[in-house]
Amino acid sequence: MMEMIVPAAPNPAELNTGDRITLTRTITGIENGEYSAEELATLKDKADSVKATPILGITGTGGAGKSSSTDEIIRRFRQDSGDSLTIAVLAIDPTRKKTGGALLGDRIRMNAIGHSNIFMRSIATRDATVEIPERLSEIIAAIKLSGFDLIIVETPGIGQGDAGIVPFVDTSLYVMTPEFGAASQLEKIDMLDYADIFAINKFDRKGSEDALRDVCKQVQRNREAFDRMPDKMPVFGTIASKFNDDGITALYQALVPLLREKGLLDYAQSIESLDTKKSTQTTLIIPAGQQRYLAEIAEVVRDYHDQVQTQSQLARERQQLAASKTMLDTAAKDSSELDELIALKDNAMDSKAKRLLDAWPQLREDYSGEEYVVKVRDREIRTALTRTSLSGTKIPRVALPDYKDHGELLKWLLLENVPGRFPFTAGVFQFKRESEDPTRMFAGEGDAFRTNRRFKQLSEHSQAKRLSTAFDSVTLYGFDPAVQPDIYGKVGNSGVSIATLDDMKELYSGFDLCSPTTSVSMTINGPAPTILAMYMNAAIDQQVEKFKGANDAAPTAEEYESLKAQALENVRGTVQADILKEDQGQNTCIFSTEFSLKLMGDIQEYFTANKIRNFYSVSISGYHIAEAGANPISQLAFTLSNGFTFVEAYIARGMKVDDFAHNLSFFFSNGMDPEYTVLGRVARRIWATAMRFKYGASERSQKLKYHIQTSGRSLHAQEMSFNDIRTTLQALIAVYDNCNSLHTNAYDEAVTTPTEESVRRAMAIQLIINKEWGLAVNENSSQGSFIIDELTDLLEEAVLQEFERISERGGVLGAMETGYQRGKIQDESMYYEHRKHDGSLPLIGVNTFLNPEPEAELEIELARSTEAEKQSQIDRLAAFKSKNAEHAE
Amino acid sequence: MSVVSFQKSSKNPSTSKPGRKWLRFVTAASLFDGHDAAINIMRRILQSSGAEVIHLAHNRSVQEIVDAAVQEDVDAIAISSYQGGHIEYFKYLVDRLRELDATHIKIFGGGGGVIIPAEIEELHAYGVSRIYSPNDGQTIGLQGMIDDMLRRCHDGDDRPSRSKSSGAQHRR
Repeated sequence: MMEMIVPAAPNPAELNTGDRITLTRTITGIENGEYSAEELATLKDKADSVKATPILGITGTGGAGKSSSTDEIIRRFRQDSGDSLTIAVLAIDPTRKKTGGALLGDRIRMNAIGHSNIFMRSIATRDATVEIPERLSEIIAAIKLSGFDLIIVETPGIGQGDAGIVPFVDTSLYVMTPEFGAASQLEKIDMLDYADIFAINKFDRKGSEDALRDVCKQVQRNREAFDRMPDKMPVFGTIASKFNDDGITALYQALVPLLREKGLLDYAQSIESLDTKKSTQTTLIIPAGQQRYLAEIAEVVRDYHDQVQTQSQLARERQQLAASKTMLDTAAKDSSELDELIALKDNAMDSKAKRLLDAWPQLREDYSGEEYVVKVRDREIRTALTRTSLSGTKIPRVALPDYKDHGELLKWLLLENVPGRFPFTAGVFQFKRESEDPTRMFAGEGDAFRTNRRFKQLSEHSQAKRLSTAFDSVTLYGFDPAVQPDIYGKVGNSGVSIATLDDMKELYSGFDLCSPTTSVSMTINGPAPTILAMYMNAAIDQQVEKFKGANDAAPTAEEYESLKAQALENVRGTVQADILKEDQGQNTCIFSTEFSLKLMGDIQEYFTANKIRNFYSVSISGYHIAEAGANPISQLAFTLSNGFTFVEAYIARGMKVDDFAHNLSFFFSNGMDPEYTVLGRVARRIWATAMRFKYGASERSQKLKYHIQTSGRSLHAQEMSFNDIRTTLQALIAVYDNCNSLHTNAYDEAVTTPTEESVRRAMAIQLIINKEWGLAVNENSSQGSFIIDELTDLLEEAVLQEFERISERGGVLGAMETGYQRGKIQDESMYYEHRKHDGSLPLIGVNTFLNPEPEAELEIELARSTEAEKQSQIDRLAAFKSKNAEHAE
Repeated sequence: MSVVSFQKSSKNPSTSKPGRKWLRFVTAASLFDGHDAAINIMRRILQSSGAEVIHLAHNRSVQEIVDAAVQEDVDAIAISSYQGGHIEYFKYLVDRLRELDATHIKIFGGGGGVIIPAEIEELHAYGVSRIYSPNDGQTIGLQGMIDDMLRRCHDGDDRPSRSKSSGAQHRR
């Protein structure tokens, strides 16, 4: 850049209405002590002489939602006045004494300031020993001289002595939450003496009504206003985080007359007058009575383990007594006394446990033949039970334990069982599908045409078309491609640009979306409802086109309905749509969590009503949580707890668990840590146990199905070719753990978008495991190992403990409000980085076993969308809009 | 892949801590970009090195950044960009500041391996003060990058120090 001279502090005499630049630079000058005492005195005198500008002070306890409240109040001013007011916001945050630095974070929450009438400036307290900067009155004077209709000053509340702002403002608002502890704590809050008006924010929290009553009483006492009822005090219950909250509107409407007394303009008000004093929409996503769901799940799982212990001990004793009786009988001794004891044990045993033991010999028999016969939807499928090695050894696909002790056997049946039987620890299906390897074909680049070509190339040799779609960030955030450069540059990069239904049709053109061998997964969350609607319509329209081709005529309305129903019942795939993990780990949120959860519920209801049985309405994802830095325990605990939160939220809106549980799927990351070896086992066992015993769900609903992607975070830029070794190990344990679907990363993903060569190698990893690797012919190789059993119990217990910690914080949503999951993920990420840095976590070729030869400069093949593709997307969108102009509002 | 390399990050924070001169930064992750781990680490080091940071979190358009930078009268903007489109984004940022006669506001950026060396050169040539690469992370460390930013804001050879000026002579 040419001009780089920092402008000097302007002369304060130059301050004038509308000149924001002079204003902000004058504030800097005041802050930096660049003006003389005389200059400052003149400034103040001059400000006093101009017409009165009302000044509203907003303060409150940390985390009470001051910034959100300020933002919502500004929004009401703008809306009510039809954007006729000019407003200045001065936000003050404390300087850290130790470092001199400061985080001025209030703009993060300010969504209503994007208008030329609004000016916002953040300042730090700097050398001041209190929460008010030394030259605040001069700064306010400068703002006044720049001509605003209203000035809002937001200050931090520090401890209980927080009334420092009062002398500087005309009217002050105090923002607090219902969580102040005992009512006597209120006597210590200075602002309850000094503020003119009060907001109890987060009014959907527990105990808010009591808090409102207590604060009203305290204000009444402080003001000695015993001639009026406590509920007449200016105290409001608000939920600033909720869109258009009526509590905030009521607060705003009470503020207006107070500010009018101080000179606020008399503008025409357009918001209808409310007579409430608190938020009326305090319905929680998860009802108050269900808030302890995670603690209850932990309890249910622990209870189950206790029962397993009791039952297996009874089974052992019953068997031992029976054996003793036999031995006594054989020795011709009196065994009659044992009968009573045996009956006692037998009666104490659970009937289901007895049935499991009774059925065991038959089960063994079933698995010992050449073939196993399974019924799937009225079809009889014969499955070979063994595979023969080159040496002629017959390897069983499912190997069974040889326990003689009924205690051990029952424990195994209750906690492990064969794949496909409760609690599904070893897998949710009895056997792996033979026709379909769990390999997905990933693509997403440029426009729909390029990605479509890539899909065709990737799936060329597979009968099963398992397409995974990555969208560009413009699409991920629900925006249209545009010429504005900060948007333009992202069109078609790191994913495909999809703006319209026509794009969607091109994306999957040539693939029969209703074929049982086609399965499509879409990595999209915020705009998932829209993208999903496009997908379903693309599938329906494909069927319609087919019909037209076959019948030489368009379908009648009736035929269309039947084609549509047919299409919906047959589509197979997954849409990620997991909004909870977005807030916790990945940040692609475009709506509030509450609204997104409502949309997800709407989608699920549509799925249920239209019998969409083979498409997952959500992929409850731990992958992004792990990529953001979580260790495997947190990954699993957060993901499962998110899953149970969806279950609770859907049940709360009146859905039946068995109507939706089969539409839920999971997505985990497999990294290098030991816990990953049993991740799927633990996930399946907890899910099945909770679904069965807490939610009374059917067997189908108890089955947790999940996709695994090998860890991107474990890929390193140094000695990149070693990454395939890591990926191979991660893929191997995923296969041993019976994952339902698997993606192996390319070795160069740490540095660039994978190339055809690296993707081919990644695919070979899976193929070699599935087709060449000997032990992979067996499907339950993780069962029966001491360490696997112990690790399973350890991880399960760690997850249950995390459930309890989240539960203490009000469940998943309560914990998210205080950033609990996010904070924990960040801590774990830092810990990993430190261990990596100090070498105590050995990483081969990265911090040890370093290559003595310098690595060759990597030739990076840039995967960027072309100008032609970007332009074409913009043109296609414009054409689509003009074609559909009459349908658009 | 970890976003931040801790290789060779200095154990002792910089000794060249700015005196009582208050530097102000706007920090954010780029538009349609939720990767906030790196920018959060960087802004914390900025704060602990004595800077005032107006943090805008993630998913911020050039317009939002420029509005904040101008209203807040900052010395510099620091942006992380991991989602591609960085050439257009940073150039647009330079253009907008130029249009507003605010070229004294320095622009810093980073995006791990996503921004390749040739692109870094291109952006430097266009007017971005500095795009830091993973290689910088390995050679000078995180604190080293922050110190470099502060130094460039402080005593960039082409700018006078505000604190040294007595005020009057700079006024019209």
